[in-house]
Amino acid sequence: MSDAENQPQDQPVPISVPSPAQVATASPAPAAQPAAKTYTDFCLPVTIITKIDLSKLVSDFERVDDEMTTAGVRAKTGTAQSGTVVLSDTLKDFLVENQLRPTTSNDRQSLLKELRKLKDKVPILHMTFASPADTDSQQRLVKWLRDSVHKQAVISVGLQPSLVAGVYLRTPNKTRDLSLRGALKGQHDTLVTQLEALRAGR
Amino acid sequence: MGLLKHKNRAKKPSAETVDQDVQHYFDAHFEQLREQAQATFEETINDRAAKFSGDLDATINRANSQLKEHIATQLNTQFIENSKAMKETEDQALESLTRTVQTIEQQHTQLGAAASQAITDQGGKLNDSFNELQSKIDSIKSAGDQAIESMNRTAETLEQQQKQLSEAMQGAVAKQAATLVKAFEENMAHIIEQYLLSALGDQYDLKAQLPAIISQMEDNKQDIMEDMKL
Repeated sequence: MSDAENQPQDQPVPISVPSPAQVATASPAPAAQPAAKTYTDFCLPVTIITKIDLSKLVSDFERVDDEMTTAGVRAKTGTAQSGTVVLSDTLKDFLVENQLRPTTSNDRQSLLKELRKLKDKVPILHMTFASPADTDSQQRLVKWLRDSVHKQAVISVGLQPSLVAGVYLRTPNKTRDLSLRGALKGQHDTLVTQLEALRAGR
Repeated sequence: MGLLKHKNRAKKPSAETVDQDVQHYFDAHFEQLREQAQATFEETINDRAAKFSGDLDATINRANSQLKEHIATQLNTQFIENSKAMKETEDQALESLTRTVQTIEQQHTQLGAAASQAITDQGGKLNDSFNELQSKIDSIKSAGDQAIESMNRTAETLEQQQKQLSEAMQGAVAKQAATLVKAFEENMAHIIEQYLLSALGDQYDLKAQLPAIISQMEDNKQDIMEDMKL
């Protein structure tokens, strides 16, 4: 295991999701609220594995923003409340991990803007396995990747049974064959040399 | 009988009886006359016929004799003429034969001369042809000798080429064998690889591989980091 994996994980800060009423009566951003946080500062939870997950996070946050804005408008006009805003687990994890509390519309818009930037610029590592990758394994890999390489990296998972074992990596500029097939292919000449030596010995 | 009839009428004469008696009288007389005339006529006819027959026989005999004489005369004349014509014809034929014989003798003489000349000419030509044929045979024999010599040289060349070809083929076979062995070894390497891949492919799931994968990625961490910088 790498040093990054041995480091203690950050404990998520428990926060309560604001209700529409709280949103309506919320005061301007308190001092504890992280101000001017850009997308480069965000940490992604392990539940966000791929770019699709990140896109879902953005969509979910857009939905929450819409619902909270609607709730605020209704609170101002005194209209009956339609219900509570439901946050997805991924969104909750993201907000907790980054200690975010976007209660105002401006905060949400700012956060949404940064999240869209993050979605567009998130680094992707393409990983092709010989067998289907389960979620736990993907999360372990993502965790190592974010601890060791880039804290916002996501992966794109592929399947190629002919690799037999190992992984085939593709970064934006390079590819690395860490599969068993690649290892054997590199040993081809050695095997031929050994066969020739065996024939000469006979 | 007439007389009896005449006696009966004299007893009872009548006009009709008289007429009939008269008629009977004349009839008998006429009958007698007719018979006398007939006998006379027959006697005369017979006499005349006998005379005519004698005359006719004499005439015929005379005519026969005259005819014989005439025919004999005519035949003699004809025979004489025919003999004369035959004689003339025989003479002409003999003369013609004589001329023909003479002509044939002349032609024979000419033919003999021509044949002699032709034989002489043919002899000369045959001699020329023989000489020409002899020269051709000589040239053919010379060409045959040259051909045999050329064939001998070709056979030697072919033998050399065969020897070279055999050596080249042996070299090619050895080279091909080496190539095949090399290809076999390479293919054997592929076979071993495929065997290892198929044998190991189903042995590991991703969880089992994960420590090894992370370890390998750890080894390449620096490169990955450089690639994935924002």
